[in-house]
Amino acid sequence: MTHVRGLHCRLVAAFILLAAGTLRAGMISQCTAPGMFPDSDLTVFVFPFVDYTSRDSSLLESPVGTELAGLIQADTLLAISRYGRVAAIRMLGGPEECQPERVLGSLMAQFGNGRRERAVIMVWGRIFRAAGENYVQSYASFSRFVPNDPGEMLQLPLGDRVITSQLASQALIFAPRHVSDEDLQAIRDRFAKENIVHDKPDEKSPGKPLLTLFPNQARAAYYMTEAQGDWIHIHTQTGQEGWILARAMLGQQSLSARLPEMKFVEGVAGYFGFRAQPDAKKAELAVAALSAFEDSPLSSTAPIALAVSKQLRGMLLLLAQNQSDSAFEQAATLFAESAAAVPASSSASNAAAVVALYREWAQPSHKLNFQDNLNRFWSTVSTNPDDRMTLTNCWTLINVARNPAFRHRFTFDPPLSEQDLAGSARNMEELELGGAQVRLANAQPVVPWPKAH
Amino acid sequence: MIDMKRQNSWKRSLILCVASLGLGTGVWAQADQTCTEMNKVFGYKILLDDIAFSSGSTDVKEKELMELLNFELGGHLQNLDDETALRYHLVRCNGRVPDGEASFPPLTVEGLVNRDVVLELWGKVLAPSSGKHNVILTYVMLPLPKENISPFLLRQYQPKIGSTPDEIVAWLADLGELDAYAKAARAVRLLSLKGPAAYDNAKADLESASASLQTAFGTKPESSQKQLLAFLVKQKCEILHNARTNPVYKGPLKLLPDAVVERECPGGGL
Repeated sequence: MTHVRGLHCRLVAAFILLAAGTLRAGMISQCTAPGMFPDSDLTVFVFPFVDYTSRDSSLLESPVGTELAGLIQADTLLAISRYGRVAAIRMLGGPEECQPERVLGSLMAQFGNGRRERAVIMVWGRIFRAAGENYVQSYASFSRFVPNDPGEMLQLPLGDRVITSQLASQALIFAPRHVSDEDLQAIRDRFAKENIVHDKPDEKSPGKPLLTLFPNQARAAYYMTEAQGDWIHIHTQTGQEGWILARAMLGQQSLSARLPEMKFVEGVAGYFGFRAQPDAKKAELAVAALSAFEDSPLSSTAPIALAVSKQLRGMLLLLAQNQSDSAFEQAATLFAESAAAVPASSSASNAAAVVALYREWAQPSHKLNFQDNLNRFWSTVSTNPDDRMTLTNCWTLINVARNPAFRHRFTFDPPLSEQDLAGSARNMEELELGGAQVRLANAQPVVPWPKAH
Repeated sequence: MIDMKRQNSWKRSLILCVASLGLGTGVWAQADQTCTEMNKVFGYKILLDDIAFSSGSTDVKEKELMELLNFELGGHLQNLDDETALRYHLVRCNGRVPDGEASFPPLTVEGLVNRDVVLELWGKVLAPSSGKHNVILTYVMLPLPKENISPFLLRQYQPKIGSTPDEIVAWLADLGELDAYAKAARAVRLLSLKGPAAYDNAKADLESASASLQTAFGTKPESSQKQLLAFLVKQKCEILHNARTNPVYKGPLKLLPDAVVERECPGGGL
């Protein structure tokens, strides 16, 4: 009876938190039986870092790799807690069972039937040793929590159609960062502190290890109800509560200063948090996190991540400022910088072209130079002929320009008749890619981009 | 999404590679070592030969640098997200140190090409001088046509001595050239194997290689580097020219406007 009453109380508490739109939750979960909070708008999964510091260590679950993941998970929960209904989950297990793709598949099978807007960020990595020096290298990927997510897209109106762009990548590899033996010991020491649930936000107050709050193999899940400085207050599913030291430090430095990719992850989380429940403050925080990543020395060694960070900042600026002219002006610069960071990325240069074209289009009195704009997309196609999104944008521009309702918006040099443009569109429709006729159609994002005014 | 399972196996092979390098001291200019490992791997391959110390293996800093170099070179490959048929794989050739061009007579080159090797590299770390480390790598791009350009490219790198490990790693991460050489060679290989059917993939490879190498070579490339860059441009322009004239090809490049082609290949670029 007591058990039933306790369960009821927990469900009520969870319901209240959900209803308030402030669900912030943490969990420790086995890779072999992964769990999540299905109602979270965003879930960050942190996997044990695989330890390659000795010949056999990579075959087993590494204590220091697991504890580093623990620090990242708690720190991430604290950092992303301002973004709404979010969760950070620490995965446990050996390298064989903790492969992110495999775990994601298992999660999808269990929880994949919920809202398609939900997003996940997966963080994993390795600890490597070279001639007495240790290095930590992180990987991150992010997507909507649906099978075959086509990726985040920026879609802008052009006449009666839309032009589309996407991020340069949604799977990132960061450069290795040096960590000393002392750092690794500091990770273990800090984790030992953070793993304790205290009565008060004070290390000297009584406490007990987090996992002891979940007896009888209960799922180690908890809700975060409050943050106070470096501490978060948690309420466990087993009905207990207390304070956890969440801010990860390595000596005097924050872990995110040592691993700036954590700022990148925080920024991505902010983007998804904003898309779920728009709020100017969220955008501001996410932009700040991404800027911090871009300003770190790491960003220069991870050009794709740098490009994606700038694109996300541009998208956040547009969203937060209702896609105003001034937002487009700032965003256009960011998208251009993104394209410059990865000159061979057709996705990045297509995005820059899309934003530049829309800026012109959004001024009703302005006439667009058809050929210049078309050539910009064709230059991108030349970089990567297999880029169907850019090809579709080319085709869209041609079709808008041949539409009598919009023809007056363009100048044509050389002159082009409607028949010329129709012929160009038809030629594009007959193209082949990989031996098959190309299908020119706009990709559909899981969460549509809000309509520009 | 990146093939994470593949990455895991990459990580394993990478660490084994680094570990084995750490154990071996390397002997410069050994003749004619074979690399049977390449026969065990399918698909396009990059052969990573020994990177030797000229001053012996006692210098811990140099050894560290070499291990990091190997670590980074392998790490760069993980950035690739190519379709399966085009992916290339790092093959560690332990104990193999070619003796320059002499180790690559036509029959050897043919054997490597037949085994889908697109790149082989080896090198050495020289004693520091004038406050700088010296790392020398030789890349062989297979099968770059010898009559047009040397497939051999010698590169010297001079990371600052006394750099912190973080700085060295950052420098190495900037290297980014291995992928570029491999892509350049793969483009040539694809074109020779598949003709027009390879235009799209080869063009993308050449664009990526050009962008990386322009950054790597800087504003004042050496003569051999200029030649390689010019070769890549020529290859790109040939593809553009052929794409517009070869009726067999039905891909997007055949529709590129004149202005776009002219910007990429002024005067045809051939």
